[in-house]
Amino acid sequence: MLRRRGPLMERMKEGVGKVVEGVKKEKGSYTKEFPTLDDHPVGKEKAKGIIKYYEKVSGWLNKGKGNKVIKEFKIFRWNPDKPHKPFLQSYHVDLTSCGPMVLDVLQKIKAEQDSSLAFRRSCREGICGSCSMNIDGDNTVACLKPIDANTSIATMITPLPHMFIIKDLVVDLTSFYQQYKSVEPWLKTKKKPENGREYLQSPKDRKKLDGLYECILCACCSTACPAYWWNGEEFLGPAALLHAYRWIQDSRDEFEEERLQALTEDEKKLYRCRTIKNCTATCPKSLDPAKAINSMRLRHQLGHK
Amino acid sequence: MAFESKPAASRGFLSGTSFDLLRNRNSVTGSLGSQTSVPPLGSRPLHASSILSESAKGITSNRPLSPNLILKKPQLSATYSISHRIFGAALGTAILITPILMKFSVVYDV
Repeated sequence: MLRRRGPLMERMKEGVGKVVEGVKKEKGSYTKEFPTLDDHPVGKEKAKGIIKYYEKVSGWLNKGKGNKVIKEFKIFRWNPDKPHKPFLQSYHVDLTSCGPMVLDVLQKIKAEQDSSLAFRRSCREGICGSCSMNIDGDNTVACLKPIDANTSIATMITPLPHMFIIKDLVVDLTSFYQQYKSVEPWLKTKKKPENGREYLQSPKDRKKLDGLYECILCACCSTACPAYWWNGEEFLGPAALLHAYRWIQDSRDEFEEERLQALTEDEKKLYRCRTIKNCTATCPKSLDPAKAINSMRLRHQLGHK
Repeated sequence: MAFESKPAASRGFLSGTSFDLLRNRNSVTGSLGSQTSVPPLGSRPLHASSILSESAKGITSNRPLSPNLILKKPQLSATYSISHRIFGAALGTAILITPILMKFSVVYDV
């Protein structure tokens, strides 16, 4: 039922194409068009996707008014009130009257075809991290994922992998949030601030938090991690560890050693990471949880700052 | 409920919501039994620490897991990782087994 899209050879070609593109580091019009996304390669790729998609859509619209382009979307369904095996339900959506993102498709289906479809969404611009789901085998936030304009292939939308399902695309994130809570993600100090009002930080120290503070807790990375699939109870997962590192890195926080010790007192919380790096590959905000985990290990092993 | 017998105007917009339970707390006629499950005004239980909703209670035991391994697109780094492990295990086995095979081998006659 849940087969991957396309034959193996095609998928390999796609992968090789991506690598070649990365090596070439093309500096075409896209780079000029999105200078603000220079530090955000995933965002850039998505912006490119949207431009390509809009070119296609304008082509369709030029063909005539009544022209309809129907694409199939296969969506994972499971209803707790009528327990049965989970299944994929097909929906056919007209792309000419729909927004560019996968979340727009879901909204359209919910509004026009099937109001019983359940999914989480809130900000529709990649800030809240509610609409994280698995789209065509990749974990992303649906609001930032452009629709694949190829209408001959159905897009498959399933919930985040290896999580308990509450309904349809909504998964139970309770333990994910508990793990985030367990790293104590708040400022802990021993002394009162020197000026009596607030803890100050130099711009240089602030810069260390770039690439860490942007995390929106969408759970894409943790649910992409095989180590988290098989050891979800003990291993904290990339998202929680990224936040742990964010507080270890913070110059104002005075409990770095204690934080690090709490993570490394058993070999499961931090050291279950097998450096698979699915987290880095899937992050919709182009953050690098694998690097954060490795830095924490290095710091623990070498004991340096 | 005594509350329902009041005219609609005095019940207001909020009747039927959790607010009228809160209002009942101050009124003498309010039922005491229904107050226990309501959080105090202005506070909301944290998602992580709250118990599951009533509708979800019966089925938590047989909630399905979402599809994982077959579905996830293989990434380059992940493929390196798993192949490293597979080849490591194979190489280890080969290195361990070769002397044993040699020992019992008839061909080499060591």
